[in-house]
Amino acid sequence: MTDKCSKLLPKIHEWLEGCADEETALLVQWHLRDCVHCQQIVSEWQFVVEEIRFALPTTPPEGFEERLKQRISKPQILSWCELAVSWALTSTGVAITVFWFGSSLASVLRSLFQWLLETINWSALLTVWLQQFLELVNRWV
Amino acid sequence: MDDDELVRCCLNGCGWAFDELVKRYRDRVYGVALHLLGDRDLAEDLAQEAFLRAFQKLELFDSTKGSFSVWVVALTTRLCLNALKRRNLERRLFAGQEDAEAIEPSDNTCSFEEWLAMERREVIHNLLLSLPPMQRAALLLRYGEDMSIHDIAQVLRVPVGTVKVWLFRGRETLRRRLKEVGLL
Repeated sequence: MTDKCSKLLPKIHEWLEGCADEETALLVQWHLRDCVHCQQIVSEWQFVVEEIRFALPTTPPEGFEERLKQRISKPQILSWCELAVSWALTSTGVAITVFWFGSSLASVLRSLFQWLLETINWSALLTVWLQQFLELVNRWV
Repeated sequence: MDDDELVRCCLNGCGWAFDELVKRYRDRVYGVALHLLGDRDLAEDLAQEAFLRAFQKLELFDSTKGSFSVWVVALTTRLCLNALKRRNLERRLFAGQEDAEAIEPSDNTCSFEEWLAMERREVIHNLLLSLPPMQRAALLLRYGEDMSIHDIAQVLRVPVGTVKVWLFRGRETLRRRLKEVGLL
């Protein structure tokens, strides 16, 4: 195998794949006409392809189609059921949470507000604040 | 009835049409999965998954872009490559696990010719498994399924030039190894 052959091998492959441009194709064809070694490699590559084609189709295990049919029919029924059940469960959960949390939060806020109203004498506090404010204004003036 | 007619028939609700498509391509789809994964159970599982996805997304199939077989084989290849990525990750986590399964004869009462063919298949299967997964996938799609290099590049999500290099390297490696085992 010459240096020229090893350099040309990728181009020969390209030509075999039908991807070589016109110039490369001519170069390869010219080389193959005289080079027995490269002719041998080309025929061996073709053998490799035949072997792959021969080995590829493989009979699947028995019951392949039956199991596939089961898988095809199962998810459709299950997905609708699962969707309905999960939707129902989620919406119920959300509703319960909102009602429970919402009502308890509202009652807590309501009782806090009532406690503030009852414990603090707002009118007295406002009077004190107003007096302090007027004193400040007097001092300033 | 050709594949396109069967697909149309299936979309119109004929259950038997998809069964016919499965019957036509199960060997090729399972073959691609087995040669890519080297594991019978996983290959069956993923071949079924590919058919299942094809069935569920049948309305997306466009016959102008390629045949049904190419479409379903492309689906299988993607599924297998993803599975291989996951398995590599698992192997890194749990090092020292199983290796490729051999293709075993289903019964011992086969003729000499059948046995010879089985042996030949096994040699090719093992040689293919010794190649890197993407190179193996490129070889199987190109020479096993007659897919164009452009289509393979799309399926494997790599540039066209990369596919050409993988094909050259893969074919050359296989040629050398076949010579070493005396099949060439």
